[in-house]
Amino acid sequence: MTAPFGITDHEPIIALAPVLGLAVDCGTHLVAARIIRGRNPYPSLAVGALAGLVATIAITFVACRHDAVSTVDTLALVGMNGIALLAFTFGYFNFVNLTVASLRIRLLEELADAGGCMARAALLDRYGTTSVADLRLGRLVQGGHLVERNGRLHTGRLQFLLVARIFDGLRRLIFGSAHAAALRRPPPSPPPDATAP
Amino acid sequence: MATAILAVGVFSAAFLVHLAWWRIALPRRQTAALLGLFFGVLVAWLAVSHLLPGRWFAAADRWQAIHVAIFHTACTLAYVVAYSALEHRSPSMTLLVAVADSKGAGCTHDELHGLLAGASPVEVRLDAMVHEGMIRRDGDGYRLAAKGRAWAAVLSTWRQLLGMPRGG
Repeated sequence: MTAPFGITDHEPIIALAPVLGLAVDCGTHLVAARIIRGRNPYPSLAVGALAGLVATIAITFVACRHDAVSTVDTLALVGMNGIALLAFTFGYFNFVNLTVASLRIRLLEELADAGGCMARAALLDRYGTTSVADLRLGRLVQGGHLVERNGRLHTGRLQFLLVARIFDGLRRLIFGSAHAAALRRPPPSPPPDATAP
Repeated sequence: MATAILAVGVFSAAFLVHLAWWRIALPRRQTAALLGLFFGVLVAWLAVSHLLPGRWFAAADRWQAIHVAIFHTACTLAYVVAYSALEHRSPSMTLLVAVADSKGAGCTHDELHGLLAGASPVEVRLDAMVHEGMIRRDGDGYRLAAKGRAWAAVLSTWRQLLGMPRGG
């Protein structure tokens, strides 16, 4: 089989395929985000992830075929690179998600807009727990993850709930059951006079 | 197949050390400890591969070592990102799990507001950002630190590139 571009050993291309796939993912996402306008960032992220995965698998498969790698080894390398690409994609997804959903980043931006310094009371007042709950509930209902019936919210789509359950299982594995249960409980509210001078 | 087995083996070794360490004692700076541990195991494996070539656990050549390193880096970064969600459950996850745990009954808006009011997510995040050096306490308020300013600039720029509104 004739090697493309005169390359005879494709090992470097196979090794770097997930990095190339990540570049395809980011580039496709940026273009898709400009085309698919709207508040929901996830369709364009999904398009980017799919393009990255297809690119990674295709590059790995074609390079393996040119090097006459056995079918078993080809499948192993395609699987390995597919997992690496999905891991990179997960990191990129979280990076983008930070920019559109993170409370920390919103608070940092509030501070930056205020010239880098803000009173604690003003921050809590501007972005109190009520608005946090409203924003999150609105986003979950809009995404179909919660469904409102007769004034009560019920479980809708299961993807995020499945992620939450997996994370609960991981907490038990890593921290042990007792510590994981403590992490699941919301931290106690500060006493009424905690912020008093 | 050998490359895949080596890659999974190196990552599994790092993960097992992490599990054992965390069960014995939680490090104070957990994310830094995780990064140090996972990349430390990778560097140790690369050194062993260089010093003991030809063994079953060593890389056969430079590109196999690079391939394993890329896989390990991708999985490590993904795990470190996921780990930050393990440390503190996000408000959205708290709401979703509360509704799911109510079985068929569902929850009212007031019940869910009450759940987050108890968690005080803004104060939890502010305390965490002080701990991470993103912001500093300044009298009765907070002052943006250089690290926090850099994060805000990078993420705001990326959000504007995507044409997305401010989140939170």
